[in-house]
Amino acid sequence: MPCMLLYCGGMYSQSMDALLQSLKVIRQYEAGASIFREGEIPVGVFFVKDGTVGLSYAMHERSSPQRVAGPGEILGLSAIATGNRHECSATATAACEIGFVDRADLLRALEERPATWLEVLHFLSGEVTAAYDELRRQSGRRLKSV
Amino acid sequence: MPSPYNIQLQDHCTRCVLHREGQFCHFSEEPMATLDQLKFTSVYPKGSLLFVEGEQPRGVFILCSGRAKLTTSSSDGKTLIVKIAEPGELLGASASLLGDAYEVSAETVEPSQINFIKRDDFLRFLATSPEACMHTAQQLSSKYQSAQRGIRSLGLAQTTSEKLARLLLDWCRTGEETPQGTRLRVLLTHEEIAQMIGTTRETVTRLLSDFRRRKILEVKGSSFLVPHIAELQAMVTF
Repeated sequence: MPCMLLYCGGMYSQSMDALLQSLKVIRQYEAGASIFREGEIPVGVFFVKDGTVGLSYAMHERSSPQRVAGPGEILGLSAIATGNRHECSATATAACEIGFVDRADLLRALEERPATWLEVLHFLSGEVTAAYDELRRQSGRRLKSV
Repeated sequence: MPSPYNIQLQDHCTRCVLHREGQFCHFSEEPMATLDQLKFTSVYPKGSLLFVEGEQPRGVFILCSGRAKLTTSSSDGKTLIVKIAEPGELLGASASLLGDAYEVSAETVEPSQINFIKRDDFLRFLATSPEACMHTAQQLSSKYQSAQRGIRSLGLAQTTSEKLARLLLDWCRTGEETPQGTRLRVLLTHEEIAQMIGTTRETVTRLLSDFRRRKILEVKGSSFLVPHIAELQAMVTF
């Protein structure tokens, strides 16, 4: 199945897709296997080819689920850009196939294909917009309960 | 010649002494020269609105000096401060890239120098400079991670006291280390602090008094002193 790089509006980018396809290493994960953990230093980006991945935060020594990522979604791009540690954990919720692209390979490829950079920036902008939407939703709920 | 609001105005990016590693405008020679040609420099007093949530994007704003609060409104009209932007940050980039309305409002909280770049010029700059793309990606990712921390704090923190402790700890990361403890310059009102943690002004005032009584915090005007960070850390559960 071709990888569809999804962002907010469900759009995808073919040139980014081609870039990821050319660089990726495919890894298989069993249900329950860890893909990356909160607090780890990011080493690359992951995209879900098949199956589902649960994203969660640690909270009071327990895992608090946030959302489930499905085929076509890309994980860890913001951590790669900033170099900050992963802020959530990703765990396979079913057997899944994940493409992995090493950080250095990705940055080198982007250097060679500047047009693809704009697609990365669109993707990140979509993530920012979605995060602000969620923040608004959470704050509305919180402020009503104060 | 005196400059407005006592700001040391930086007219030329190529000769600017303010930019630092990790900031948007910390460019090598060529993109810096391009930036210099594209930007419009202005100085704003405290309380100036740079852009408003819902407004169509005109372009991006580089905060050269000063600080700005980024706010959003919940469905019932309450204001939430999502971030205090620091010098070197790029504002309005996601809206300008997507061509969608600004998703937050930006207002200066102290006199600030701002460099504005028109949207079309910014997009052309990105199309010709991988370095500018990389720096923009870092800025967007940083905003995303900051929003994620906000979501996590609003959704998961147990008590308002914990949220205030978390906010103070966050500020301590850029505070001044002194023999007495970590000193913070807080230019926000109690109302604005409340808008950062999703509570009321009255609760913030009460909690700050409580922190002072417990010697967790000393407050003198806009100067906060945290004598022992470990005491704040002990109040935070994740």
